[in-house]
Amino acid sequence: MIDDTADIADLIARTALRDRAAFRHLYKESSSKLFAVALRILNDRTEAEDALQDIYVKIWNRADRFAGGGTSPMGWLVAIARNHAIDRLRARRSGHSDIDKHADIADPRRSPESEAIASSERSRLDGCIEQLDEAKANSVRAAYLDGYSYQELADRHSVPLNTMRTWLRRSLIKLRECLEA
Amino acid sequence: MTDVNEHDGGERDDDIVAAEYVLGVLPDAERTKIARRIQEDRAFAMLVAAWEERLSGMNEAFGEERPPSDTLGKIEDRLFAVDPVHKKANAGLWTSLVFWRGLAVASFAMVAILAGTLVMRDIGSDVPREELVASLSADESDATFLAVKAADGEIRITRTGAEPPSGRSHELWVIVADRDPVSLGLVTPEGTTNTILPADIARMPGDALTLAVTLEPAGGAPDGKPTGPIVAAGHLKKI
Repeated sequence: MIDDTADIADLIARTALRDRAAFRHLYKESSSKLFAVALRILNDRTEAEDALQDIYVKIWNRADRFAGGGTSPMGWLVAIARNHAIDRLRARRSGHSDIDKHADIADPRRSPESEAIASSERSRLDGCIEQLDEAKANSVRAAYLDGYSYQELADRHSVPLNTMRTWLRRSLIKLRECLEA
Repeated sequence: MTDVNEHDGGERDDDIVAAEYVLGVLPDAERTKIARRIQEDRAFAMLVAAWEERLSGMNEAFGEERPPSDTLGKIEDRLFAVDPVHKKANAGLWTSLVFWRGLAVASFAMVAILAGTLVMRDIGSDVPREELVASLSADESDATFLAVKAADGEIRITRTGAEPPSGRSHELWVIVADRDPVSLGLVTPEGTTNTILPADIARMPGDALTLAVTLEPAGGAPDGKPTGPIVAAGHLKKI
């Protein structure tokens, strides 16, 4: 993963112009990140590979919608990957809950480079999440990183669905206030 | 889902819905509705983008994982593969009797425009191979549509018959044996709507797929399941 956001933004812009070489380059720069996203959420290698194909077809088709300006290009790509993986997960799980699948999640693998890039944004968000109660902080992370639904989080913490919904909504409001402070 | 913030007014509520969408905790049907709203409501899309930015600090925790080496090739096959034989097949569109017969219900102008688009795509370099066509209609319905499926799973659909009654929307579904219909989104009343099949369905043989359009409340079926009558349906066929 290259850290130069201007380069990634440029590759997305050129992909929007149907530049296949730029698309290939964009894939090389971003696919390890997006595959990690799909794999973590779907927790199934074959399905994550399928999802990754869909994700890049979407990126090719939507590149012209990347706003540029203040938007982080890697954040935009990760959002496409996360949304797609979560949609697949919800479609797969609809009607039943296979929460145990995620019971044993391996530590995320990090390259030395990405470990070294401790963005201020990350530590700031981490700091704000740390200010939440432990159970709520864990729920926020489990939802964002592992794709847990409200129902699954409620089951996991043995609280009613509405309680979990209230917890997380309040946590999100607190995060917004903390980040904007 | 208004139990917490109904006193905060609509704008505040929207921001929480955007946050919940980005966090990913909502059920399938709600996610589908919100994804549609992001396409249509620019102010709401900006709330979503702001939350994506706020929570992106967690993205590093995903780490990195190298995908299998053949994945890029598969993606490029889906997006760009050109089959020279098929070019001929598309050129033959104009002379294919079966094709024209199948479209007896579609107006000539509509078909000419759509077929023109197909030919244009052939001239460009991004031609997916193997396009399939479906003519959608039903007895006792004056709604008709023409749909084209590209090899990459993209579906383009154009209304060729009656508009939906005011206050209602046409929603497109793909129907596969032994599964609930999968929504492909609303069909815009004017022009061509582009949508994409889920990958597992896109890989099935085209003649295993039926496309159907139902009449739904404005904005689409509320729970991701068809509620209205099928006003048109058809199988995908090779041209």
